[in-house]
Amino acid sequence: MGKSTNNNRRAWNNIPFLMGQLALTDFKLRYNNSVLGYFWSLLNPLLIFGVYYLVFSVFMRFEGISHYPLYLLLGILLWSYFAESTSNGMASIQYKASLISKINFPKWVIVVSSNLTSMLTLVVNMLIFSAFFVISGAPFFSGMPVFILCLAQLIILSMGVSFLLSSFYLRFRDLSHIWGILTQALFWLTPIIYPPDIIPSGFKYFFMLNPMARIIEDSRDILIYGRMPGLLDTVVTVVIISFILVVGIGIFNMRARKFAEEI
Amino acid sequence: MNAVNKIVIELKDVSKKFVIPHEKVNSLKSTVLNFWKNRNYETFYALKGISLDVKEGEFLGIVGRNGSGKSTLLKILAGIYEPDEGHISVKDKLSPFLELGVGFNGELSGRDNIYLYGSVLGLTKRQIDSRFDEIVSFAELEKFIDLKMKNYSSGMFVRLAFSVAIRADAPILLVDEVLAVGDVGFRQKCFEVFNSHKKDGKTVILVSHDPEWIRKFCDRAVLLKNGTVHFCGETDKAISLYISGE
Repeated sequence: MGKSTNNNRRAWNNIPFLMGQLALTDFKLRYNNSVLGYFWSLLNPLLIFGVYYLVFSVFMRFEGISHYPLYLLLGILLWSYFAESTSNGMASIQYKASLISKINFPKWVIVVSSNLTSMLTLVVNMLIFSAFFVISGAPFFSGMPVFILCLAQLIILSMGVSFLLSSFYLRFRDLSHIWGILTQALFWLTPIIYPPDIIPSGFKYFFMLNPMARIIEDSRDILIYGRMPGLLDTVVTVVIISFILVVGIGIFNMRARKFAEEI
Repeated sequence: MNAVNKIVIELKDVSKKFVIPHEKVNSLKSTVLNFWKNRNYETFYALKGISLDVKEGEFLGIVGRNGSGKSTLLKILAGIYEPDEGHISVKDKLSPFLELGVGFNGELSGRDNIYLYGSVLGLTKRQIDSRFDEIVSFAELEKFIDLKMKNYSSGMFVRLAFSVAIRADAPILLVDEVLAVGDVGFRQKCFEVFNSHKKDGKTVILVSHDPEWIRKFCDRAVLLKNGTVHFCGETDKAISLYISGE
């Protein structure tokens, strides 16, 4: 194996600037040329929400869920961040192929900036949720700021999964199809439109090991029902998320040096 | 030039090989399906045992026919590829001009692209802010800077790219064929820029098919042939060997 000693380091304050520039560019490009512009990204989860609400609240009914519209909307918005950020994060390395094959720079910046672009959407989605929340007349709770911790878990989890997927995307181009199907399956295996109580009690523990299930449940407890999540459950979820992130970054760093050749 | 110049780039027995599979497998499906099959591949050495020292303030030319390993060598110098064997050490900040306008995006304005490209090249926001006017006036694009870049002519595109790239201000420059583009006036400008770099004692590695440019600037030249250093030394000798094809 060859060795390379390179003093060609970037100034530390270039990194956040570069990250911001890449994220901003993606964001501008994505919404630049469409008439509805930014609203496309809002329309998607809102449309899903509308249809699911019709089916699962008007046609079928889950008994005993108060504030079901808020319950459903919050689940869909958090899930759509996970689905969008991981699928964009996965392809981000390929998307920036011309950069990688021409200039030496830290590859992780690309994945993080791709996630940053999705975070801009998340912020707006949360504003929409707040509007729905106020309109619905649901009560406010003093513990609501704890929700920030759920968002942090969501963002870190998505980052870890993005690193993991993008490590292999150049090698296995069909990963995008596989991940597309997997996210579909995971959507139904995560309590988004239904409550976790309908899962047979023997399976429920394993079911809730899915970090997305825990994050969505905790978020609802905190924002809609004013309950604090249990400490042990949170610790288990944080451990799982950290594990995914550490493994993701580790594999990414191992594979990143070969990216320029795989393009 | 100084008599005792320190070495800024050192390559020792650097080799780079590429594995060329007879059948390209780049999906998980075909990987699984072909798991039991014998996979045939060839190993191709793009560079083999390259040893080279570049001193501070030196203007080094690299010539060679297509496929001789020039681009691979540049990518190794730029840190884009890692060598498979041997050792490379780059002791100072290096700015690669492998292709002008990497990351430029036609949907954005010239202004946005200056910031984007500058950030990619390693500049900070403050550095770009302070050099912005200089960049625009060097590229002669004052009137068009807020126009989307897809409406630029190819000449305007290259001028802006070059203008940003030369503000990256690294002590080592890696230049690949960028001089081939642009009209007479622009080539003259490039000429002046390289001359001033030479005066400032910057290290420049220039890869070009044009013997004229190599002869004009380079103190020393390397002739690559089939991934090895065929000749390294006097510029005129390297060029005559290159032209005669020996």
